[in-house]
Amino acid sequence: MKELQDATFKQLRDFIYEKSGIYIADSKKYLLENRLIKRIQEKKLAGYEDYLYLLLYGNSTDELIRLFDIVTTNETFFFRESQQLDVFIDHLVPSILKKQGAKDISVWSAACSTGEEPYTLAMLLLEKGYSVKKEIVGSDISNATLESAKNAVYNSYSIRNVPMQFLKKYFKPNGQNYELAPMVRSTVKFMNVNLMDDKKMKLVSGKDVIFCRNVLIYFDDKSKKKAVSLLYDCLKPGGYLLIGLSESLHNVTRAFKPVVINKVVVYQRM
Amino acid sequence: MQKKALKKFFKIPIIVYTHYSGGVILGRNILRLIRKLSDNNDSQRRSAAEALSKADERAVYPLIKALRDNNAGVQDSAMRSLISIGGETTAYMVLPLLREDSFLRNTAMIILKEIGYETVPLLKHLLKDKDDDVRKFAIDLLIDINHCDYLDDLIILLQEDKNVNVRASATKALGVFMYEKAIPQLTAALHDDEWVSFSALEALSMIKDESTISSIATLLNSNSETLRYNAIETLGKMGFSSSEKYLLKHFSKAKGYEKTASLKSLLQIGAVPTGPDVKDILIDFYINSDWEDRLIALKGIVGLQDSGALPVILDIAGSLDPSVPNEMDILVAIKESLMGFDCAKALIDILNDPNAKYRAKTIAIEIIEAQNCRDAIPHLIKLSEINLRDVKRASIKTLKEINGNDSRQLFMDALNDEDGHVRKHAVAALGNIGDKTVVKTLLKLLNKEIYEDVKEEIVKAILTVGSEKVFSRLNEFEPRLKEFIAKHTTDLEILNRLAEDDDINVRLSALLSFGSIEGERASEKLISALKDENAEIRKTALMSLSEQRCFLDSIKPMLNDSDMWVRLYAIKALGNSKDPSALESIVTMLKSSEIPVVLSAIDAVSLIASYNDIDISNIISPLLNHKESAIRQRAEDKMGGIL
Amino acid sequence: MKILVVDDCQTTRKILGLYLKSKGFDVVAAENGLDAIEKLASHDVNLIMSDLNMPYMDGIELVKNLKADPNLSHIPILMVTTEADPEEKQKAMDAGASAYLVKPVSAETVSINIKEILKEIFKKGGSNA
Repeated sequence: MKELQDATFKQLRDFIYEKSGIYIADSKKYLLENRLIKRIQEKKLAGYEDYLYLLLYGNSTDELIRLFDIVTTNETFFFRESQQLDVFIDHLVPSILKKQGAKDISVWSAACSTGEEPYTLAMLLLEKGYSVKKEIVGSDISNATLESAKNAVYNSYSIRNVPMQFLKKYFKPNGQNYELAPMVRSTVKFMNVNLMDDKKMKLVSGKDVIFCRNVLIYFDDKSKKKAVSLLYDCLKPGGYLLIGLSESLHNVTRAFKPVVINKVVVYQRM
Repeated sequence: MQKKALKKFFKIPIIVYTHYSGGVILGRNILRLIRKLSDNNDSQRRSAAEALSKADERAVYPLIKALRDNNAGVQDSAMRSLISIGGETTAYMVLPLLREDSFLRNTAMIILKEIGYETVPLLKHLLKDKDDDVRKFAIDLLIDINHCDYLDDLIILLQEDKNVNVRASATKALGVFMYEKAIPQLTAALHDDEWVSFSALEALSMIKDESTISSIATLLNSNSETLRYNAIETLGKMGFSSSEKYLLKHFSKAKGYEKTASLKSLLQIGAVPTGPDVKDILIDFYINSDWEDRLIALKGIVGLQDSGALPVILDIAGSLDPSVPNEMDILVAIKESLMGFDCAKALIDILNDPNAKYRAKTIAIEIIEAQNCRDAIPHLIKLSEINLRDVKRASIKTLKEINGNDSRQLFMDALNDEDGHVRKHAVAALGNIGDKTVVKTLLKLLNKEIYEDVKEEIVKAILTVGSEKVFSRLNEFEPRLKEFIAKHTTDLEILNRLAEDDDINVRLSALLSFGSIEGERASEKLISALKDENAEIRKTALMSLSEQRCFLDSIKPMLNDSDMWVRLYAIKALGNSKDPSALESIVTMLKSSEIPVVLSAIDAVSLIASYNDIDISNIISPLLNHKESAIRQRAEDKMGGIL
Repeated sequence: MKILVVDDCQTTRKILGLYLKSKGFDVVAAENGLDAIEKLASHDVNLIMSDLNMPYMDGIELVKNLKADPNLSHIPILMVTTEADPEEKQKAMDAGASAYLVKPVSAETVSINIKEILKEIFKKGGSNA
């Protein structure tokens, strides 16, 4: 296959950006080139330009969905960035339950990839023994990873940060892998949501806590601002947004109030 | 004008088209939304503010008022909507906010910056404003917007404004706009107030004019530590070797962080000083800096071939996470720098250091592979036996690349590893070794392997060692495996049989492979596939024929195929033939209503024309006015090539 | 001793950073009030130097937010701004700023003011929460 020409790359980049908000910088051209090879061969196409034609003029959204699978990087694991999880379970959840008269709690893990994050949140809530109704939703733009999430079977890399008591209680070893206990699986629902899709995002509302970690790093400023504004509207007043520990909203929005708890910044919708 | 007259006459609301492409709000809706900005409910006000992003100038003043809402979400939406409406009128109405309290001022700055070019003409008269701060804000906005067509006014401010902060901003702006005409004034500003001088250094570092080096170097003797430091940095940033003598002199007499800064600047201009303490200063600099500076330090360390520094370098590099985009780039840059480093022993020591980070070892292995360092082989073999995921993978991969035969048993053992990546490298290595005795083992593995890419690698390896015949018992293999066989084999008999397989993907793979095989039998197969009832088959046959460059008579009828993709590939195949007799047929396709067909036809016509020196400008030029922009663009590109 | 410098202008952050480093302080920088709060989450800081005019969260709002947070209210804030308007100065001091300097400032002025502020805190019995 001929190499990816700059003009084709730019058009592919623009297309991906328009549909998902993910911006692929010039220096990452090689990443896109490598990731598309397999798909182009699967479709029995001659090269990148043909693939571009398929995306632009091909009439089906199926390929777009496959493209999202290809473009999103998805290595994650359970109990990632645990300082934030501690703040969630020790501070945010009690304060939310106190406010609402302890009836229910609604949590959304946006861009959850293969499901480790929402399942982690579910385990934390189960372990505390709260009897309130727990609604935990995990979403991603990639169907392949959502299928994998529903399957809930993980390798040793994914579980490397899981504290022993959780591992024993909520996982069952199966050969080289670990199966998640049904009681955890049943607490989480999975949905396909594109953070740039206004219409779909506006259907989501009333969340107490949203986790959107290590995803906004793939967006440029414009997409970030749009995504964050849409996320704001998905929260209840008083609800919290958490982004990755190394991420920031400081040139993105003034809509949230930053609150520092145990060295973790959470963003509150007032 | 016409709109106003019509509105008066018919007394009906006129649809207002806005700047936002595709966005339309009816006039009465704007009024409704504006009223909603006063709703009691925060969410209602916010959604109204947001919806008004598609409105016209009527919404500007209400949105400006909404910037003062007591709810931050409403303020934020109002700000974003003002930016979205944009335009000179909005900028004009937002401008007075620069005189308000700090919150409104700062919000106005964001809005005006985002509106961009249209703000710029409005700022010119503010450069003469009575208020020092307003003059400064105007300059800062020009910098943020990155556009100004009255730079001479900024030179005047630099020379004459009474306020230091205004002079400093003007200085900075002249640098940002790289206004060479201002060089004399900027050089003079090096001796103004410290803050202006500092900005002048920054400005000159952006303009990068070599004649200013000596003026900048005078600041190396300034009484101000800050100016000395910035002068050192500026000389480094400018990158001219003519700075070397000044920097070397300063390096020899400076202490502490000024000494380190001088070293950094020397490295930036491509000079590596020698001396007893240089290596230590470099390592220290590497350890205590951010990544941008570390890469500079690395240049120096490699320049001095200080292999003693390698453990520190890789230890710190080992904390980078390749799944984070920026950190991946840094890792790539580090590896590139280290390629020039002759440091085999130091790399091997890291492999054997029990305290070295896993990622540090992995990076060391990657460099060993790039440098083809065979001394490391026994150590890699040891590492490949330890169960550390990334290290094991990297070891096996490198052994595959640089070792081969000696590690045959190791690769055989690795075929049973739990990690798919390791199995894949081991299979590829055995394929490279070329020993046919492994085929039986590989076939067994093929039966129980779960990962497709490893299966494909096994098929490739078996073919590489020359054992095609193993695959003649084709009915024993599942379709996906047959696809891989079709993809990688060159055996005509096997391909012919696969081209008749029940599974369509297998047939398609076989047809694709025929494309790279010369000879009548291959082309016969492809031509007969042109008549297949399945469009995918016809399309793939054309793709392959395209590699063969002939058989125009068989291909031309495909231009009338019912499937667009088949037609597209027919066009490509004709174009690739470079045969002028194909031109006429392709030209008719330029009238198609399907964009990709026309684009391919343009490409094909251009290819034939350039190969045969035919003038096609009268064919392409009508397309310059095509209603589709992609087609106009392609025609323009090709016309550019012709002219 | 660590100081957080908050200013949306990179040149200012650089100059103030150099002043502070030359006096032996460790420096962390932020671009605006929101960035400052994010940085405060992961850095233990003894003093903050902040501009007034910054996007997304200006200096006065930053001061108010910090004084309202029991974990961060102990950190003294020194305003460093081009705003010479006495009303703005009053607003900042009312919000809880410890001092107010008008740019341009010299390294000496910055150093003297910081020493004064830290001395006061030491007298009152330590700054750490």
